[in-house]
Amino acid sequence: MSPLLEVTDLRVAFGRSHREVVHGISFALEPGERLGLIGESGSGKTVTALAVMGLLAENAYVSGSVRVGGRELVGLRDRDLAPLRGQAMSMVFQEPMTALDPTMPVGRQVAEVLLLHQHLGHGVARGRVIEVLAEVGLEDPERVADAYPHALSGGQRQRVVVAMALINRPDLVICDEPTTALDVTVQAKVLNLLDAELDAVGASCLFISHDLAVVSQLCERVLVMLDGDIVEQGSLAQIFNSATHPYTRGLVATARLDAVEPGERLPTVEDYYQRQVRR
Amino acid sequence: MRRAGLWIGVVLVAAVILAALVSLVWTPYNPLQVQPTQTLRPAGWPHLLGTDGFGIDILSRLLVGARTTVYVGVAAVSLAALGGVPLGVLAGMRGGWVSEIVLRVSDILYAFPALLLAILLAAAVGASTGTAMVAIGIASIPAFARVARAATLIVMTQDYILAARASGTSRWTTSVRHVLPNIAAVLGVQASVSFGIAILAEAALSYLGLATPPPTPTWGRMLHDAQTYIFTSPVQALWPGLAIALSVLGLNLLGDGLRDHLDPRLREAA
Amino acid sequence: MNLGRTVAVRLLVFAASLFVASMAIFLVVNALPGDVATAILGFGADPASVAGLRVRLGLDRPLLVRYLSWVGGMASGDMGRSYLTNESVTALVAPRIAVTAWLVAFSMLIAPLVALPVGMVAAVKRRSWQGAAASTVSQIGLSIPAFYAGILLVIVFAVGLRWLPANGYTDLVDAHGQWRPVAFVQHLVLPVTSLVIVQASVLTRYVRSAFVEVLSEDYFRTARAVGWTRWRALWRHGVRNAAISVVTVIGLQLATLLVGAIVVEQVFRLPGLGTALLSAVANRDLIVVQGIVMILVFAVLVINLLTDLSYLLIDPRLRNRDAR
Repeated sequence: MSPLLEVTDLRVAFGRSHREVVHGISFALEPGERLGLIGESGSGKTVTALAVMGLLAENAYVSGSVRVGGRELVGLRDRDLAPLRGQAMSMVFQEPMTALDPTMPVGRQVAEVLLLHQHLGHGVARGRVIEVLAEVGLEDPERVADAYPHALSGGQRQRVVVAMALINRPDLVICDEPTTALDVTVQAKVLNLLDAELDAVGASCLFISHDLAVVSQLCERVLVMLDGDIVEQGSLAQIFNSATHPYTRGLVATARLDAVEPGERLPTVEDYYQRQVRR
Repeated sequence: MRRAGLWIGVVLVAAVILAALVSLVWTPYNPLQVQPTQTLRPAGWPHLLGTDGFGIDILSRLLVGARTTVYVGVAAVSLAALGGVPLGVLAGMRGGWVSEIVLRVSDILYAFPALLLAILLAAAVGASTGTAMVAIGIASIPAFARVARAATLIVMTQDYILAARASGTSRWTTSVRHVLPNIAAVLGVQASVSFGIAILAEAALSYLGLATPPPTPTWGRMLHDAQTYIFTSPVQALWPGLAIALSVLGLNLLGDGLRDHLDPRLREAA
Repeated sequence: MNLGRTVAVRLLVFAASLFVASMAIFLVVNALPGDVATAILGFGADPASVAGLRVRLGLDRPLLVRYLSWVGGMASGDMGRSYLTNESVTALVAPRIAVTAWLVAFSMLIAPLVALPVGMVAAVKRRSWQGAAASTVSQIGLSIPAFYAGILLVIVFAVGLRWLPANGYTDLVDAHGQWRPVAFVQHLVLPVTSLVIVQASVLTRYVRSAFVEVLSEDYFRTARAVGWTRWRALWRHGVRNAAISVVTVIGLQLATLLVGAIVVEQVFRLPGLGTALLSAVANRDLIVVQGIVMILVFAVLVINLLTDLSYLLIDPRLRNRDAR
């Protein structure tokens, strides 16, 4: 079977100076697979996600290849790419407090995603929106649909964002740190929700996080990204048991706090990997 | 590109000030002397920009007009800063009802643009350079008060202020020693913008005959006079307007350029 | 409900502003040195006739009484009688309001229609030449006084090309009840354009910065992520959000626009409030001056009130909070 998402030698540079932040990475994602993309902030993981979606700012220069379902996306015009977004692929963002338009009831924002890609009557759309809002675990979906974002909690908003990402049953869902901005208790609930919903829809997922512990709950396979390069990839078991790159070993140590003896100092990534000072 | 804007601004503003200074000691011709034989000369030699309907050299009048413009602008902006800055700093430091009153008063003042104030003053005591200065100055107070308040609010959250307050420094000393120096740059930007607005207002007032009375040349009055000959000699209407537009453009570019160099924290106040 | 309270507070502030403004106008005109009766009769006039005139004009009464009778009259639509001609100020002013109102209304409607697309281009294309061009044009427009723009337009379109009249005014319906739409528009094109040049330039700057902000917002990225193209996302989710800050500016700009209209009326000899006001100033006809200024200030305050209330419609976050 051919991969659903195939990224080959992807490079992204910004601005007049063409400062490169992603240095020719390659990876693939099979249909139905969940792939974790892990790295610290500034490692280029969000830029990679936005490059796949074609959502980078205009001063970004993308080269290499991104294929979704066999179709090349790099170099596509906004007009041709837009119909794929929200339909074939969708995205859940990090910051639920700002990801929704403050001037529009959330139900209409969800319905918009539906109506943008499918020809439905407004009545039908409304019914479907309520259905999906209930599916993502929102109590009283009728009331939520008519609420403006500011009236909802962070967890509720993130559920709305998940509903927007899943309502058209896309093949690929990119989650960019979807739980980082949430309280710990809400985090676990949203993770469980994503787990169940991705299964229900049958979508593949590229799950981005800085936290190996979170990634290990959802993904079978992991890419480790450092300073714009993929330094390690493999199954969860390989990463945990036989990581070769010191940075990955550091990540593993910090994720396995259960292995730390009481009274011992907590490990940090820097114990394992020190970045060489450039220049 | 952005830096270019700042420098164009500096050059234009310097040119206006230079013209005003030069006019104090020298003008090509007497800017007041009517010469019935020399009326409506086209631009050329010896009258570089031609003569007006009275036969007066237009370039000479422009130079002297710069003087009035700079004079009224400086006076109006100083008046506005003297009135607005203390109010704004007070509102920013005290907050609560003091702040509320300052904001409300400046709201009401906003409903009185310089022109309406100038009209009221002109109606009550007669138009003069002084009424124009006072009217433009008062009308610019709210802008200064608001900017000073916004900048003060930002400065007040900084550690050095908290340290000064914690060590028991009085409000007055804090405001003079710590707040004012730190908001000075923002006020500089506002002064530049207000100066531009003052020039536009002065030009409108003198065009309407609500500011400096003749025979003293002003750019607005020159436009008014030139309009009489608009069908016979339209070119002479270009110069004074161009002088106004270039001065205002210079001040706006200067203000924008300075704003770009502000501390990013304070930029949103300006 | 909270919304009701917010509206009530706004109305209260409006009423208080109106009171303070009327007080200020009255005091500036009446309490400053300078005497109307002397001004009318000339400095050499004999003191007895000056005193007589003062009594006839009611100027011998205490300030407070005069203020109350002026405000009371205004409230019932009677703005007093001209000191010079004894004509009713209301009758003098009423037909002129329409002229100024046309001028201001057209400018206020057209300026945003120009500024919105130009500002959007300036924001979206800010890294390319189209954006730089849009910003430069607005920067230049900002530097030109409306009356100079008017004079330039006259030179080009009336003196040079002879397409449009240089000045004057035709009512939409003339004295014989005849509709004159073409002449009406012909006489308004240049005055309105001169105001629009300035207004649109100011607005463009704000539209640009509002949209630059929208472009960096997360919800804009969300909108694109669900399938809107850049421009349609901007239209669908940007305009409303940008409108919140732009509407404020349109409201605040009204004061400038009214002032601009007064000057532009003078350039084009339009028989509006501005020309009436300026000839009253020239004649020291103080009751007319204070009446017209009050009308203009009233208009500014009403628009400020409407601006404040319009936030409540645009920004749902404010509906259950006190605005600002």
